[in-house]
Amino acid sequence: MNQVHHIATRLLDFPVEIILDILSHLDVHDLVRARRVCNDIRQAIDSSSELLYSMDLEYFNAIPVPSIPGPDYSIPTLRKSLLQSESAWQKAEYSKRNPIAIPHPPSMHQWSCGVLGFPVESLQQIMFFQPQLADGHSNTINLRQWSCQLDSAAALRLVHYNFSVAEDLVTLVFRAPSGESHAYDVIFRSLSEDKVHRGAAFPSVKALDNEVDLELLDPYTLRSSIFGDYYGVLFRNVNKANGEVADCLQIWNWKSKDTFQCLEVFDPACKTMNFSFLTNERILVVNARELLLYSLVHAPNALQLTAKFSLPALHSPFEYACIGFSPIPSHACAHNQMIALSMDISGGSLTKNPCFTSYVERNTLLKLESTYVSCYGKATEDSPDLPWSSWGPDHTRSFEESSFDPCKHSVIGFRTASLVGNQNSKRPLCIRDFNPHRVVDFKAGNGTKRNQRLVEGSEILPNSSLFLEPLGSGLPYLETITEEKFLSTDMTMEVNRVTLLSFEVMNTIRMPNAGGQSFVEHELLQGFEVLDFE
Amino acid sequence: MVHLVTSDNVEFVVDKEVVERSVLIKNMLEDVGETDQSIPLANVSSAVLRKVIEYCEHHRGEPLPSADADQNQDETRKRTTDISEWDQKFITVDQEMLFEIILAANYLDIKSLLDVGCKTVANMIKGKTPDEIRRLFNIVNDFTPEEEAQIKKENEWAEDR
Repeated sequence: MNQVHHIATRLLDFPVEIILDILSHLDVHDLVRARRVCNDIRQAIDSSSELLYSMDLEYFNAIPVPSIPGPDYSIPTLRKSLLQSESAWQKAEYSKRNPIAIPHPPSMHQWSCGVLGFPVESLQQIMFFQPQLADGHSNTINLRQWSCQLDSAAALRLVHYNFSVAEDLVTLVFRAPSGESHAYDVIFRSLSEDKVHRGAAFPSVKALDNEVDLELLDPYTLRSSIFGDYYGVLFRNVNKANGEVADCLQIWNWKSKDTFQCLEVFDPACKTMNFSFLTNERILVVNARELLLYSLVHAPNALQLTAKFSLPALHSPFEYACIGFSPIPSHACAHNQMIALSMDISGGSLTKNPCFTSYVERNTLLKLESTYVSCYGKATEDSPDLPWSSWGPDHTRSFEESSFDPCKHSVIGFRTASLVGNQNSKRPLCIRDFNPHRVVDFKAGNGTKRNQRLVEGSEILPNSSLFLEPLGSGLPYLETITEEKFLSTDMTMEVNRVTLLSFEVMNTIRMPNAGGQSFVEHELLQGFEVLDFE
Repeated sequence: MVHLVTSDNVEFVVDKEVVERSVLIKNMLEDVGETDQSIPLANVSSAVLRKVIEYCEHHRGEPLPSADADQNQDETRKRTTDISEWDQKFITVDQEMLFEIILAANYLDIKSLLDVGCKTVANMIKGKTPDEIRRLFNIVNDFTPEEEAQIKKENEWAEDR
């Protein structure tokens, strides 16, 4: 009988397809370690667009572009455009398109994924504008324009609207006709077609049932948010029929027939100011003193308080006048990203309200929940806050502006954009990258430094003395500033694009006023200026 | 019934329904039609084929994954290393047998078994340092110190979790 020499199969004897199959089951951290094992494995990984793309997505903390019908990109194409876009942002290199004028001057406008919406009362409609690249490789922008019609009776009762490109949803809040027992009607319409949203379980829902004295409601304090299947509205200073005043947060699952909704009532003494969805399961609420984290999971028809975090305390007599969040796009809710918390401060002899912005990672807030529970147990209304000093200074980064400015602190993923300098002047665009992977690499000297600058450690803010506690100086970031300057009143940011609402002064008119003095009025021509980083 | 002959000349007689989980054999049977002739499997030993048949017997009657469905599920399939309880017990074998099963599944084109095998190897790699991975699979570090330093630097960002 022949002696057969049996040679054991080894991992590296596998055909490369099998090695790649095995590697495809690893997460990026394991993949990176496997790449350090030997040449064969490294070459296998480096030959696979799929694996390299998954590592790139993780490295850049990239937020995927919302899925829109269009060409089906292959992974090598997607990877190439990701790398090009990242490089363009780092170098502040963009293709600038010819600006395009807006036919109506926007007021009470809102952005969603590069779409600008605003109500035009005289036309009884909400208009939407989206600057789009014209076909072919020109620098020309076309303005896509459409509207959501309101009938004349309803138009008078419209008090609030919101819209989401990702959900193709427009929400309209109308004051209920007199004689009804509820305060508001909320209508769910499609953004792309001027009709009721196909996915909405009900064309409209009633808000604040039987609870309020309609005459006393102040609709201008409404805050609303669309996040996937959820729609929430914060009604402030609601005067209940029994004479009490309260702030109410009402949330609907607008796609569910089971009329999921919950109502959280806050004591007005807390001065509840805003809310934001962090994930499908967590909501952040902010009042004049603290951040409150609520769960939507534990009790499906009610919010459950899970943790409370202090905001930095202010010296008397200063107080938080207004607090807002940069929204998390629902299509990106699986990804960690920065949240900008903007805080206007009033009180004392301040003539202008200074506005502070603190950035925090979304996942930091989610992780602090378990820190909270291990310190204080289950949160209740009476339990203490996790003090600012134990989370804020190290996990946030603060900036100050002399007054509120919509051209500051646009956020997408870990990248932010702001115009630097005073409003009404031409100013450069500042791109900040908080991606910790990029910061590590920059410090290690990888890649070219280009014109980026690393900012870490504490920076003195002009009005930090208003605070009793130190502001956040954690979260190092890389900063790039454009050479070009822009004249703009508002801006929004997408994965590959900055859209500026630019203006040009057409006419300056001196108008006499009653006191014999005169004031200057500018006639502005507004339009979109589009910068594509790709 | 289908007759299979292994590399070490052992004949197995198996239900058609069972062996048709192998796309290779299924296609062969479709090509030649009903036959009593045995199919030689030159790349598979009897010890390995016994395991493979055990796997196919257990999953008898389960729908075969279609090529289209696989494409769609690709994203969810990847990054997960969940293996069903029975499969996990089945694949608890020594490294050599595990590798032989993977090669056989690849050769016989049994997608689900190949998947179980690859996930199992992936699970062995998870959480280990490069050095631990080398020891586990008896791999020689063939990087020069310069290369090693370069790769470590390239991947620095992913080091801490």
